Formats: sequence, C-alpha cells, structure tokens
Amino acid sequence: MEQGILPQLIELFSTEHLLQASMAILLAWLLLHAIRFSLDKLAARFPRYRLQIGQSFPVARILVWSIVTAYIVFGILNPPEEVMFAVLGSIGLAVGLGAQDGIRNLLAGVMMIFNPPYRIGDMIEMAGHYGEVVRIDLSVTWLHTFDDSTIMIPNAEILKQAVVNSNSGELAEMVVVRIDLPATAQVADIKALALDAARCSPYVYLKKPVVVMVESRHDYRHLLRFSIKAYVLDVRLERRMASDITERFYEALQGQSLLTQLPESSTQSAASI
Amino acid sequence: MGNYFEAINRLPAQLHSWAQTRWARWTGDKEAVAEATYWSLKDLQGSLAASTQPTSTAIQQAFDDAALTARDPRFIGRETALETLVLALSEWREGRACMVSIQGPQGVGISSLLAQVTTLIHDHEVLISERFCQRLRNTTDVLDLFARTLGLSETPASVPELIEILQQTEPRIILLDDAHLLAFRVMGTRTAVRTFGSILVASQPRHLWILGFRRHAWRRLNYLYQAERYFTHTIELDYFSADELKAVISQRFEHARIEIDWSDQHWSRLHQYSRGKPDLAFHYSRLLASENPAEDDRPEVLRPIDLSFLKSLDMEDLFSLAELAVHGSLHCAEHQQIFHETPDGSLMRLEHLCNRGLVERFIPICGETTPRYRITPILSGQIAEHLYKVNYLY
Repeated sequence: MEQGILPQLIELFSTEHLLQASMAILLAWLLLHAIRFSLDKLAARFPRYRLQIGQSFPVARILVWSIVTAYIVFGILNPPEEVMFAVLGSIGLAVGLGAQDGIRNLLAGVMMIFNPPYRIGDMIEMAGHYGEVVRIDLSVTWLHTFDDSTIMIPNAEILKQAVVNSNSGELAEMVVVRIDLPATAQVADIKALALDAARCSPYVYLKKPVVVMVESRHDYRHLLRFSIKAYVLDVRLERRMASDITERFYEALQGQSLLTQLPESSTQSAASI
Repeated sequence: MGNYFEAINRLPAQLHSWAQTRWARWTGDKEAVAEATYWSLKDLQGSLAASTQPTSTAIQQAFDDAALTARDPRFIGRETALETLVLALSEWREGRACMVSIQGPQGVGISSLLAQVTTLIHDHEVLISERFCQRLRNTTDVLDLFARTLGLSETPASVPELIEILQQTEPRIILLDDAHLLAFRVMGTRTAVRTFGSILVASQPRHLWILGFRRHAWRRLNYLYQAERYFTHTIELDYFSADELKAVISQRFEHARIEIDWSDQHWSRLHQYSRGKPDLAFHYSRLLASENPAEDDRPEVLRPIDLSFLKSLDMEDLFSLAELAVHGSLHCAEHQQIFHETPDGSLMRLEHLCNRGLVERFIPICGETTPRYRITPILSGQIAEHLYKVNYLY
C-alpha cells in the first residue's frame, strides 16, 4: 500500500496543483490584508466602536484560512481517502514530536478566538506585563505597553495563567489613584477635594460613578489611604488621567493649605487599575 | 410613481458623482472636492461674511438668527413643547410644585421657546425673564444671580435669607435662559451648583422655574448632579424634521413677502445638508434666495460642508472642542483652568481652532469685555456629531 501512496502523492503535488494552491493562498493572504486594512480604517473612523471592530479580525482570519485549506484539499488536490489519512497520520506524528510547543500555542490561539479571555483593544495584565492587546495571532498575543514596548506572549502561556482584564471589551475602564496621607489628615475635607479633583479631570468618564474610599494602613507609621476610583474615557488615557487627578488633587491640597499642615515627605501616591 | 422613476434615473449620475468625490478625497485633492461637491470651510465663511452685507434687507430680516420674540408668526413647529409648557403651567396653578427644563442642541430655538411663555400666562400672573451672564463659582455668585432675577435692591446675606424672601414673594413664573453656564468643570464650583439647585427646589412649591439648557451641558449636569430628577417636566427640543423645516423656511419667506418655488429635491437636499439645524438651514436659504439665476457657472449652493479635516485634529484639539460644546463658550482663562494649561498654551490652542474655522471669538452680550470662544454656531451640530463618533462627547 505504501508503495502505491508515493506515486499518488507525486501526482497530487503536480506543478499545476501547486500553482493553483499557491494562487489560493496568495488570494487568501491578500484578502486578509484587505480585511485588516478596512477594519483599521473603520476603527479609525469610529473610535467609539474600535474594540468591537478589532475583535472581528481573528474570527475572519480563522474563517478565511479554514475555507482556503478546505478548498485546496478538496477542490484542488482532492486526494483519495487512503492518501489523505496516511498524510494526516504522518503530519500528526511529525508535528506531535517536533513542534509540540508551536501546536500547543496554535490550539490555544484557536480556543481563545472562540472563547476569548480578552479582545483586541483590552488592557490586560499577565506574566508581569500590563498593556493593550494590539494583535491576537494564532500562536501569540501582542501587547503594547505604556512605555511604548511591544511584548509577545505565547497563547499557551496565557491559557495557563491568570489574566487580569481591566476593561473587558469596553472603552471605559476603572482607574484607581491611591494617595497616602498621615492619619491626622482631615478626612471629610480631603475626601471632598479628591472627588472634585476626579470629576474635574477632562479624561474622566462622568457617565459612571466617581468614588473615594478611605482605609487605614501602616507603613512604618499610621496612614490614611485615599483611593480615588473613576472611569477613564478611553483605556489609552489611563495614565494621563491618573496623573491629571493626582496633579489637581495636590494643587488643591496646597491651595487650601491642607498640604502644609502635613509633615514633610508624608504623602505618597500610586495609580493602578 | 413618477418620483421613483426620476430617482432611479438619477441614480447612475449620483453614483458617478459619489465615486468621483470619494476618489478626489482619497487622493487628497481637497480643492477639487470642495469646489465640485462640498463647501470648503473657507468659502463657507466667506459666504457668511458676504451674507452679513446689506444686499437684501428683506432676506436678512427673514433669516435673522436672533431668538424670536413672543407672538412672532415665524415661531412654528414646536407644538408638543408648547403643550408641555401649558400642562406645567396648569399643574402649577392647581398648586402642584413644578419645575421645567428645556434642553436641546445649540441653535435649536430654546430662547425662542422660552419667549413664547409670555403668550401662555394669565394677565394677573407675574413673569420674570432672566439669563445667566456668568458661571457660578461660589455662593455669592448664586445670591447675586437671584438678587438680580428678583430685582432686589440688596443681595441677601445668606441662602436661608434668600429662601425666606422667595417664600414671601408673590408666586412668579421665572424663566432662566443659558442655564448651560451651570456646567463648569473646575474645582470648587460644585458647591455653587448645589446651592443654586437647593434654592430652586426650596422655592419650587411657590414659583414656577423654567430653565433652558444646551443639550451637552444638560447631560453633564445629569451625570454629575442627577439634575433630571428635580424637574417635573422636561422638554427636549431637536432639529427640525423635513416637513417642519419646510414649514419654517416657507413661513419666513412668506413673512418677508418673498416668493419661492423650490422643487421637492431642493427641500430634501436642504434638510439633508442642514440636518434640520435651523441656523444652517437659514444660511443655505439666504444663499439660495440671494443667488443670481443668470450665473450658471457658479457651484451649487446646496452642497454639504467638507469637515473631513476634523480627522486630522489632535487629541488636545478634540478635548478642547468637546469642552467648548459642553460649556457653550469659554474664556481663555477658563480653558486654562479646565485643562491645566499655561495661559499661552490655552490661547494658542483656542486661536489655532479659530484659524481652522471651527471656533469663533465673540464678545458676550452681558457686558463682559474679555472675548469668549465658542464653536462656530452653524457647524456645532456636525462637530458634536464627530466628537460623539470619536468618543470625546458622550
């Protein structure tokens, strides 16, 4: 039987078939580029819906490649059953032995497309990295961080670990600005200032609530932590908003002479999602 | 049926023109685009300047952008809003506490509607009409505003004193226009707005307050103070529908004794390009009415405005436009406070927007001498639409 398969295989991969298959692959590649270009243009035109638009590309890619693969196998090559099973078996064995990680990442990518833990445009934190998902390939996910670095994370790794998704498909995202003040701070006045500072920042999404939480903590001495929780208009403005609120808050503290009443170097702040 | 055939016959030419325009816009041949099918902002502003020349007094008077006074026959198309006002007045007369808000986009006719309240009141009823001239920054500003509104010789010393005065004054219908000035995104102004609101609510059983807001400011006041819950009646004005616009424009021509004979296509394009926004529709109408039919080679008046360059504005420009849309107008110093900018930075930003034709400088009517900046009125609808699309307005 094996002796019969080889000539059949040679016959299947004739120059004509190879040319047709290459043409189909080329067309699929061009089509995918056209889809990506159109979606990018559409997202730029309607930034409000850019997350929904962005998430349609991975699905489109899977669909296009599935159709092209099916067309090449059944429409161009059209191999006899025994050849197909033999080739599939051989490929399976070779891939299973030699490219375990690649296949694992690929399968993880496929699983993520149909059951996504995040979408393009989401802000995620994983493996110590925090950034915007800019691209989901079949085997890897690309993050863009606020330091303007691009990080590539294998999809299999993502499925193994906990992923923190800050906005889950929405443009607005909660940002927490934490400010520590000495325990002697006047809570009511400072809380009112913090609320005002957040509501006056042009980057805050006022459709959602702004709250300030106060908690006691100890860091060499007793402190009061003011956590300003507000939603940012667009995830990309997250850092800008945190900085703006902190700036406004400190200026107001100084303006109302509240900061001067506090011991020097007694304040510290941190922003997080 | 004939209309359908006509529309089908026009389709290939329209498709061709659409494709040609798209291609020109794609290749960046803006001049060709503007000349053929779009108003460039420069030409539009030129036409605006020309339209203020006293070429035809009748046309100028017919399409005056100023708010209409009470009983002006040109005030039509707001029947539902008037019905709500009548309902609020009758409920108030029965002794129920009422407060009315009128809100809508800039230039939709809020002031004109407020002016019509005069026609709805009884002879013995007292009506006061006042407008916000400045933003409320503290309690003193609030007390000054009420003292001015009530015609008090001295400003009350405190809020309880003012409320007492309001309780003792005979019942009045009080109109307050330009209430969008309440929305001010600067630290420390929250107390003033809350004080203003509490005075309205406290005097609500005795007086009928009717306030006019611009839409984006109203929305922001709702997000920040849940303003809507304190108003018993909310009137939402919108741009005119095609039929309403036709009636409004025809009425204006009729009032000026100018005869027009526009085809259905003309009316439909007027509505399409103005989106039913009165001031823009009036501008098109002014241009159409002043057009000399002998000059065949001139580009058509009824064409949309090319605002494709809005896409090239940077984030700070768009945020500035968004805050201008919400605040109605801003001083340079107010812009500076909102954006934490330097004085030079704010001035440069606003002047840049002025140079692009998106914003205009004006001196307010309330006696201020410092110029304010506002979105060019006839473009406000399209700019707001773009800002919403790009997620700077919500």
